[in-house]
Amino acid sequence: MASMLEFRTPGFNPYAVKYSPYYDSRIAVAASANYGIVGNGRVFCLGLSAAGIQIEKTFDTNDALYDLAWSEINENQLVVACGDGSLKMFDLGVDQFPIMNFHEHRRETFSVCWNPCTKDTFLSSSWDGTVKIWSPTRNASLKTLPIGCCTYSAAFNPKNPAIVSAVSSDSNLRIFDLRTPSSAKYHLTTMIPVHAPPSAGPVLPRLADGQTYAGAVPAEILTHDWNKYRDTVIATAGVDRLIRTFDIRNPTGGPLAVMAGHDYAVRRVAWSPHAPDILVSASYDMTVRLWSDGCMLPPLPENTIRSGAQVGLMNRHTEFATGVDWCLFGAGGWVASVGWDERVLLWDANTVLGR
Amino acid sequence: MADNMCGPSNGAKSLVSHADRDRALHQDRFANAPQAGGSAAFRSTASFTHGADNAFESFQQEHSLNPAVVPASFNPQFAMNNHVAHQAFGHPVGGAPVTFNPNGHLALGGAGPGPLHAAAPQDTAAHKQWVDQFANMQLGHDVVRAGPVMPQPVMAPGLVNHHMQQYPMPIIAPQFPMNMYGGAAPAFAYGQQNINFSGVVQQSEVGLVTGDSSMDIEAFNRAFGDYDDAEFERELADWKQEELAATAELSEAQDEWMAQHGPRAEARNAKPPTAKEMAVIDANLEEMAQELEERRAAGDPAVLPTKGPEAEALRKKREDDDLARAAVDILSSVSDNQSEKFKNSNFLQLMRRIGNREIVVEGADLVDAESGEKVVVFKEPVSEHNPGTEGANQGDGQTGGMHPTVEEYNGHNGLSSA
Repeated sequence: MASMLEFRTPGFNPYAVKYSPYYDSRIAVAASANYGIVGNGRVFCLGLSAAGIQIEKTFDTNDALYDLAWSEINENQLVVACGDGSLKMFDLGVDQFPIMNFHEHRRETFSVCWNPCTKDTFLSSSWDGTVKIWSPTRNASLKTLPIGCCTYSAAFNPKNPAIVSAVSSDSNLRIFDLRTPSSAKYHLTTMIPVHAPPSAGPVLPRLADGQTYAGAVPAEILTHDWNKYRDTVIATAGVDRLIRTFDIRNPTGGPLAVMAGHDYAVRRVAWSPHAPDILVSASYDMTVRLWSDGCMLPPLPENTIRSGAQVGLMNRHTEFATGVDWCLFGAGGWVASVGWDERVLLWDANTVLGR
Repeated sequence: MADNMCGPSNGAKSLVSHADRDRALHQDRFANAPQAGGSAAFRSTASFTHGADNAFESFQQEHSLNPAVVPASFNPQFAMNNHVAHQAFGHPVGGAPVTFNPNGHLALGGAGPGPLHAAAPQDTAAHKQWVDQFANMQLGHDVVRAGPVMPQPVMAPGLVNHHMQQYPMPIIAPQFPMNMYGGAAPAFAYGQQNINFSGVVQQSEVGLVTGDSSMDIEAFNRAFGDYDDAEFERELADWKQEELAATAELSEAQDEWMAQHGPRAEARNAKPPTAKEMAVIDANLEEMAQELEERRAAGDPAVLPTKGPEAEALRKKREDDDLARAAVDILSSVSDNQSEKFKNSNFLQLMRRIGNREIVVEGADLVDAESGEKVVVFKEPVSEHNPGTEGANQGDGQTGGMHPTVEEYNGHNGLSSA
């Protein structure tokens, strides 16, 4: 079996893990007591030292934590999404208390993402059906994007700071362009029904294995991520266990690729920062899987949807796998994954290839 | 989004800086162009601003330095600013010390407005043709008529005070208002533009009014002199009395009407309900009370009290029910999975116990429903892969050599550890 580094988070069940964009040896984990049912939350800031993975700092919160994002402008700061609807910013140089509190969401804040381009804003999505954009220096949100239903995940485009995406419980992927006037549908420019087949062509497309792709019933979309090389491509996944990729330039064209294999809902997907076709997913089936969407392969016949391939399986978590992230540094391939088994695992994706 | 303007890679930001740079180039070309300015002397002066700014100032100064030719339509403030700019940007003519402080105020040396006045005749000569053209075209015979009204404005340098230099309009201002508004307007124009003139005009007007009113009073006395003041007083008193009587009568009528039809009249005239009516009322009340009891018994939250121990207990019961129902749903959704992992899952075990009401939420903890003790919801699985390490794992072989060393991690990444 692949070699792994492991860290325990006793008493707290992790929901999300993120590598620092500044240091290859720094990782943060957002965790909740009692699986997030009731109790406190805790942020673990971990450092990889010669002695192994060790705690650099922890911060406790009154409510469960569901997500976190490192600041892109300050290597010591991160923001966490709390169960009480707030976002709290912590600084590793400040003990115990958050340095900023952003509280406008009326329900659980479920995801947070820092703007990777301009680095001066971050966004949050909530079960209250909104996405809010914030400045780290202001308590009040800069902008609110209405979704209308539980929004599990929202993210900035990796190349364009004005483009925001969100997935929600209504099975839609929404794209907002903040450059458009607010009066025009609150910046909403594209809405892709994730479950639907292409609506443009006269004939339903076929999957690579010859089956007709007629779509599926709507299901909650729990996670999505922008491809780091093809900045118009998004991978989505959720309750229907499928991972799909879409090109936002063709919103009615259906998925580019479909990846099937997880036994239960997919909780988190993340594209590799080192390869344009590789992504990793964490699922309620307690596995973390590596996928290739096949974009590097020769093109398929027209009106054919590619079937992505599972290229690796990490089966070490003993509870639901809830978070996964790629290390940005080095040759590439190191992955951090967390699960409700109170464990943070660092492993090399290259070692699980072919499983 | 406004904050995007702060970002280092913002497109609009670089556009602004690019425009700044470009502006300088364009301004230089514009300033050096033959048509840029009217006076070569000004262009030859070393400039520390954009060329176009100087060109624009030159354009202004051509007209403003000779107050005699400033059109009346120019705003006085505009003329003053022009004057300041001229002094500020390094064109002192008469050699008097002129400085410019950062507040934009003009600070003149001991000579006061001297240099300005010295400059005026030069420009007057230089633009004589323009003056003539302007006078012929726009002012016509009014220029001639303005002469006697204001003899001094023709710029005798020593006589014009500083105030006039800053507000050169009075010289011609009377001409426009006269054309447009007739004879009454000049007084207003003077008042706006030069207090010295307005004082004289107002005094003459007051004298005129005074003479007229004394004549009117005499004529009035002649016409009504025989009217008896006492008789007027008596008539006034009578009228007041009649007025009071009429008001009192109206007030009485209003009171009477209100007593019969006002809001209190109904209560005063109301009779107690009859026995038959009381029976109907009682029946209705009974029915409403019964309905309320039924809803309360059914647990309708709309009619239950929201505070107090009973309400709190009820709320907690509902939450426990919801949690138990969710636990059962989760269990049923994975019931088909017979894998070892799912069988041994701590979370699913917890769900089973919550679904069976063995564990309930108490405050911020999960507690045993019978004993009330806090429940440890996670037991570390003991397996060959995970023999029960706590806290930080050192990656040092403690877990049977499964974990890599930190060196392996760093070696793969080509990075140094912190």
